[in-house]
Amino acid sequence: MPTRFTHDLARDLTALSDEALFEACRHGDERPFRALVDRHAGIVRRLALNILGDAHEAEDVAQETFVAAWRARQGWTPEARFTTWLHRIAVNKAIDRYRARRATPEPHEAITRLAEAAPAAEVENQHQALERRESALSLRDCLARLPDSQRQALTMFYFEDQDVARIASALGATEQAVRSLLKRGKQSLRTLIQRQKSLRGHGSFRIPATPLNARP
Amino acid sequence: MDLSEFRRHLSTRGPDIHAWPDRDAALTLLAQSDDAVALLAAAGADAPAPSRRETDAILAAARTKTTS
Repeated sequence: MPTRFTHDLARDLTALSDEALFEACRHGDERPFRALVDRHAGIVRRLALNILGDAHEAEDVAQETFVAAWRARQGWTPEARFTTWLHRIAVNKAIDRYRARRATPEPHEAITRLAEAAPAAEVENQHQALERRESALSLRDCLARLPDSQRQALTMFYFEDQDVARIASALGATEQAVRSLLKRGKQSLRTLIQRQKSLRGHGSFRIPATPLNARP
Repeated sequence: MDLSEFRRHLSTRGPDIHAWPDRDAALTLLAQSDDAVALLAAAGADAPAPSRRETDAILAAARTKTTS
């Protein structure tokens, strides 16, 4: 797909209606689609933000909305205004995420279970058990400070032993978006943990490289 | 919640539906009514345009999904 276009062509594209631009996308040309994204991504992101209240999630929804539109371009028929159709996609995706969030167990519950389970390890002496419990509680505090989407993805992956596909389904996101959430969340969590460790001056825990209950 | 009530709330509370006390009812309406979606979209018409980075990310995602 071409990715560059001249100023003349850009001016021509901006003069076209949404419907004409989307029609022009049917042959796989990226340029009219870029014009549509420039024109509408702001309002799509705002719609998702109004529903979800989370800027990161809103950005993900905006991206998913345009990906869905791009994939549907061949079968699209201009029975309604392009924006009516596009906004419907965005709102549905945002609502799905909102409901998936509601259906997901509160992350604190999973973390608390971990904290409660820690002292039961028979092989650990009391000191180790207490240290582990403190670490889990600290981890809970750090998780609580992450954006909702990152916290949900991390909790489901590391504490509920769910794979990326299942998380993507639950959150109404693509697997790529979930991997991105996990990566960003892990980076944010690591920063928060290091900050907390330096403040407390003791205790140690690490983000697992694999889910805690990793399958063989 | 019906459309007139949604319009009234939108006017008095603002468009942040996630903060509405009866947000579930509002979302049910939004899931069913294109008119409600249009009202919400109109309330956010002053949203800033996407950054170049955001546009590029969306196009890259579309490209990836098309070729994968």
